[in-house]
Amino acid sequence: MAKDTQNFTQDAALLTAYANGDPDAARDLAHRIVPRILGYATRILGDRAEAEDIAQEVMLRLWRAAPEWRAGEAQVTTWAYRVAVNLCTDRLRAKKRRRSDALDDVTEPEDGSIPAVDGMIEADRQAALSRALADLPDRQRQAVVLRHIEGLANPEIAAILQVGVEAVESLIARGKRALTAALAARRKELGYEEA
Amino acid sequence: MENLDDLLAQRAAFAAQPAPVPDALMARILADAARLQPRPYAFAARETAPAKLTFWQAVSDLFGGGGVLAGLATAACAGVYLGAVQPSAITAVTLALVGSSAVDQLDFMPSIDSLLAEE
Repeated sequence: MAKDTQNFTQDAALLTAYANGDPDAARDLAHRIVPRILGYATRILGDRAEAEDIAQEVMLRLWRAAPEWRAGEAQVTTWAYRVAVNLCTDRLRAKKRRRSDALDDVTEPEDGSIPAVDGMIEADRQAALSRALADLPDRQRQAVVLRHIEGLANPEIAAILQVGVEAVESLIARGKRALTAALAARRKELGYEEA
Repeated sequence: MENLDDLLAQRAAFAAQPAPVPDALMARILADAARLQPRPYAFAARETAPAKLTFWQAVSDLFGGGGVLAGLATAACAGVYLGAVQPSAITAVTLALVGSSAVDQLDFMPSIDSLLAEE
């Protein structure tokens, strides 16, 4: 927790330094934030190129917000995740509209975040997880990814999704139930023993 | 549920070592940052030594500019002229106001002796 607090303080200090004209602050801050936002957007959208657009847009908005930034009101990473969540939601909605307009079949997400695991069974299981995540409702997917993959605490997720902590717990629980059901349907195929 | 937790844990371990950010993306982000970065308050104009002023520029600055100095000089010349020449038009005005053309004999600060004497 102390490390988190230190990170938040450093992020805020770098943003203040950027706003005051420090030419090195932007590079340091970008190296701290961009990998996390890029990874998150890739996991949510399943498309690396779109995720890069999201990461650039999040940082663009951060640079614009820097002169008016009030230290202590929001944490820089929480703010960046919140913008990324909203941008990803917009992209997913636009994708769904395009698919329904074109009456296309839903295609498999091209997930650039699947880990390179040893063995075909593990790879199949991770691919199945990606597919199941992609089929979740947007809010449930965001909550599950932020909690179980990004490793954020529920209060921070609540701040990012702009809902209460109880709502976050509910989203995660429903999301995990849906994931379990989706994986259970392919239990044998994924090499799990029957319960 | 255990299987799911294992898969999520495996994914989280992968996410904890994020792939490097492409150089082209980082370059675009830093270009945006440079374009939008607020400039610090610049005192560049003050950093150069002020140009040396000539005598008349210094006198002019002392009185608040060349226009003020010209007006002041004109008023001074007019005062000297009127005092030396005493044109008849001015003498008439002086007689009408103070009853005497001998301005140098006027008592602009009369004592109160005359007032006391009347009592």
